[in-house]
Amino acid sequence: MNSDNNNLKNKIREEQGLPAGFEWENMQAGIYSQMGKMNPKPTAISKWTSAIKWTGFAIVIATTAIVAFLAGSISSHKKMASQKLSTSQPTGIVENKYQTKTTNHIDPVHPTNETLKAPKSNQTSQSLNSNNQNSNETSSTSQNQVVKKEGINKANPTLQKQDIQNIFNSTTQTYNPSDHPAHLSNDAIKSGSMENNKPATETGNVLSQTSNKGEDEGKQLIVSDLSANPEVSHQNPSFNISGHTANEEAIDRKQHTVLASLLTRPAHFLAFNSKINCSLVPESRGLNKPLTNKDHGLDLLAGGGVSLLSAHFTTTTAQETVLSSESVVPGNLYYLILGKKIGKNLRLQTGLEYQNLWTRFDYRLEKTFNGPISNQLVEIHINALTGDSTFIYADTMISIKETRTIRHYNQLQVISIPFMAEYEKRVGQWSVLLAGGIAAHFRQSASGRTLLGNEIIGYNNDQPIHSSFLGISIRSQLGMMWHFNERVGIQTSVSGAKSINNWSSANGTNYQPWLLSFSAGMRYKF
Amino acid sequence: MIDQTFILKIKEKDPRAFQLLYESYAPYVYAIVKNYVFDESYRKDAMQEVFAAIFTSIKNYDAGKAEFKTWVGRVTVNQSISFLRKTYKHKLNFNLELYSEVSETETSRFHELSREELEKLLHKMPLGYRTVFLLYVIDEYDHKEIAAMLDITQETSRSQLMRALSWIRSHIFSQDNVLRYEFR
Repeated sequence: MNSDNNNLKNKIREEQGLPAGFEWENMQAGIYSQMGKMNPKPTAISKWTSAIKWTGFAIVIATTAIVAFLAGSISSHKKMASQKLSTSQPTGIVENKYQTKTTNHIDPVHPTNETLKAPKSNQTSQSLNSNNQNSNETSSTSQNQVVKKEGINKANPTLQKQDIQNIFNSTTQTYNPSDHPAHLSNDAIKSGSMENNKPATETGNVLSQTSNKGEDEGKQLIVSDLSANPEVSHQNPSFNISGHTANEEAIDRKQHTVLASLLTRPAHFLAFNSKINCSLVPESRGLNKPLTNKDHGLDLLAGGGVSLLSAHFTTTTAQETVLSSESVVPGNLYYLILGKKIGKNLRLQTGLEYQNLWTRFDYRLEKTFNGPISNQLVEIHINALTGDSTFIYADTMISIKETRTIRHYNQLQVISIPFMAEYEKRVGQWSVLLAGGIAAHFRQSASGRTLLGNEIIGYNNDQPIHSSFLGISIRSQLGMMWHFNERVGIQTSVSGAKSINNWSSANGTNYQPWLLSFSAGMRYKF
Repeated sequence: MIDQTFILKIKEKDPRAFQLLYESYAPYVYAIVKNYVFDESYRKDAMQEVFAAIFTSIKNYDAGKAEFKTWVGRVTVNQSISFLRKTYKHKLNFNLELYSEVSETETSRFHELSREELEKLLHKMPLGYRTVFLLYVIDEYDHKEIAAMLDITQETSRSQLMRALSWIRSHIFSQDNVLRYEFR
């Protein structure tokens, strides 16, 4: 077989030279012309088209990069601020990262282990766990008004004098120097119990703070109780720390308030007269505004993919043996979805989708023609001896079977508005997404051919085959998302939708297609 | 002989290199083109398109994958098919033709035909049959490649080949398998 094929190939491919007129001189102009067509010079329009295309591409890339950068930048700012303050600037307001205001009233006469008030956000709550714990460990010596705090100084075992002075200096920005109590002067702190690590019990009421963990175990830092000084009050409603405004509510100005503690992290401003006010102020040094962790619960999802529209019609009629079938052809899908978190793992979604859907419509028409043919040569008799031949003619029947197959691509363009509820299960950097809901599909254009009764008809927007402007479908979706960080993630999903109304108003046709989509996109959480 | 230096000259659009390449390979290219493009009035255009494609796509030639002549043959076949689809777009419809009973056959007796007889036979063959027959039997593409080149299904390619072989058999061999076709 192979040798026969080679033989055949050699015969067919036998080179016999070029016919006249095919010399290079006669061909080169045409070849160069064809080369020009294959590599067309860019026209002004094509240049603009190309420029717009590349500019759009650059914008998309730049936007993505900026969004990712901002997300990363905010995250790193938080981290850096925390690290900076915790390592080099022990100010006594280290752990309190968030704009949280908590006032804790401790009755010095009847001390309780009342904890700090709950913070606003989850993260704040997490951040404040240690503070709550510390507050639980706070006890008040009722008679001499000594408040002893334990287990606080674990983060800064090497608190230096200069650090204390820095704390004090930042505090002095807050207060009117004329109101500054002598007990809290630099000299007082340097020469007092702070420097010598001795309880300043001789000063009367003492607020002491003791660490019993790590290297600080047993170390006792004491700040004098200033409650006796009636001049110490917060006259300035704007309680500034390092140029930033703490929440006014942090200070109970109705009371005679005293600066009680400026010690190690997490330190508190304790102000008390008959009560002790404990205030957490934001860590905002180096930033223009306090870092907040507002979770709007909004996210934006943009992406695209492949969408499959199920076949519209499958019909067989008897008269002419018209066989038709419509098969699936991949189409395009683009979407922009806005999500709003309504629960820990739940969010609602809506947005816009554009789908360019295709199907392939084939029909085969089979016809058989039967007819007589008269006077047809049917036999030839040849006399072998004489060579005479006799031709025999007769009437016969002929049967011709004709089969035609026609293929057409049908197109349907819709803009859809989905309303979905999505459940997200987070596992590390991954999330599993399960969503369900409905979608409204608005037909933009439709064209193609289909079988209506026994007739193959072409249709467009004006014909009833797709006259239903609005289609409704129910859909479910399963997806996976990879989180680059807390804000940006990339996800892929598969969704299926089934229309629940008839998208066609033509008689005898029922068009309730399935839609299957495979998509990928990027999600950004605000 | 084509070497890298020569290919570099082609890439640099050296007119002398173009001419040399054309004069070296034109007979070979023509032998392929004439089978696909039977209308002589179109062959010149087809040849020009084939060589334009060779000159412009020579940058894609990888000497490690195929000999240059083989590569030229592939480009020629592809460009010939492209020319056919462009020129005979109405006639090259594989879905509009008469059905006939198809049976397995083989080409074992084709060698009994001379080149001229084969050419005449191919000339009479319907365009769709001939194209698939040439691609499969002569140029040794498989049905998947043929389907991609002609934008048809593999099943269509197979059925076209079977019908082509059946057509050849019915036009060459009598019932007793004796050559009876007269090429006149």
